[in-house]
Amino acid sequence: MKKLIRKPAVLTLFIIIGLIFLNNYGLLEKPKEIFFRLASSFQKTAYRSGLWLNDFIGLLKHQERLNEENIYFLEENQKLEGIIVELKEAERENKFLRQQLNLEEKEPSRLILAEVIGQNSVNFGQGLLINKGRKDGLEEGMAVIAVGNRLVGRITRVFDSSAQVFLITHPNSRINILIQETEVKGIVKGESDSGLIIDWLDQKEEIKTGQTVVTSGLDGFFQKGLLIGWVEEVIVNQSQVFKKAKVKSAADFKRIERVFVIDSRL
Amino acid sequence: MKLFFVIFVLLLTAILQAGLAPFLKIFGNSPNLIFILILSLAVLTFYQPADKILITEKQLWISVILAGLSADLFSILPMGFLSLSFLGAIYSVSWFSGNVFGRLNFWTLLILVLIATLFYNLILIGLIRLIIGELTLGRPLFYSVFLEIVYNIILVWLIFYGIKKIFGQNRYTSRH
Repeated sequence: MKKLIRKPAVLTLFIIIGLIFLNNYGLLEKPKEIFFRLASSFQKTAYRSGLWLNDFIGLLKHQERLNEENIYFLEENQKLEGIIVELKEAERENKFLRQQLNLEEKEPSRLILAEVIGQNSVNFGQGLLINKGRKDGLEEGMAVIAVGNRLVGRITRVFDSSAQVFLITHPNSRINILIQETEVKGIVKGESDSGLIIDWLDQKEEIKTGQTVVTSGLDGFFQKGLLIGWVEEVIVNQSQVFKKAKVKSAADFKRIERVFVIDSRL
Repeated sequence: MKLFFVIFVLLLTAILQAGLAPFLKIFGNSPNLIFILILSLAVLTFYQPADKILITEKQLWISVILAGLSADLFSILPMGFLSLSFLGAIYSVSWFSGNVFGRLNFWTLLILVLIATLFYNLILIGLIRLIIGELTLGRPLFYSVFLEIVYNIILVWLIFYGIKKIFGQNRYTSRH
């Protein structure tokens, strides 16, 4: 037995198992906090450099399309400004009708702004690292969104001043969704590389490309109405009971810099 | 090589893994920089000439523990998954260097990296199936592992031959 323990690989195995036990009893929390606190400013710099590099390469690759894209986005912006005016009017009307019917007004959730300081992209372990943690009010399970109520994921692990986010594009992610235009319900699951797929859609349901996919609120993890994306392609196989649809994610995971954590404890 | 220097490089690599590696994707795969570094150190440890020891075996195994810990910290997988996978991969390099490949050349390096990457993935997949249950990748597993092997071979080859150029050695035989 002594000879076996003296072998470096076996000794390493025992040390790792020992560390796993210590972690399970929460005894490694302090060293982890210290590590993340020390590493976070370097982490942020490395991530920002990566984002810059990504944008620079994107600029070189798509230089020709810049002018066209610019015109397209200007037009889109003008359209959206018009829609905002209509929505503000609808909101005002909604508030007035709620008051008339004595309905309780929905309390707005508190949003905690956080910066993304890292992204783990290796197989099976994809997630984001953000620079807010327990001392900022974060808890496990809180939903994380990007600007425009675009769903990013949920908090899985919280440290003192940082937290890990489980992305909706992770292959193990499952979210109860609703197609806004038709109220059709389904489950969206992640595929790698920012891909999402809706599964368990009845063959009879009318699904079209361009339709908006939002959270239904039925799973208890995410509130209703958070934007997941838009239907990109409907995959029909008549020999199967259900059909599928590919969804283009609303959140751009290749460029994500800032997120909001929804504090739903109010 | 001072252990402090190795630890510093490891921690820096862990930071770069989370910071830069996501933007270095090729066909949807990012390089596993920590694994590549530890694999390069393992090959160096088991094949370095006796008169020019750059890294001792003790330093290597300490590095395996620290590399695994730092990879686990940044991953959303349960603690220990990546550490145990690294351990299995490096042990496979140790075993094959001692029992099969006496001399190191391009082909043996290629085979060692292939074997180590396969061991790493097998152990990781096994742990995920055993403890978490469900395992989905969103694309064929074979495709993902194959890309990882190719990435690892190229980067380990670059690192190892870079070290060889710097320290000027031409013959690498197994130290077992």
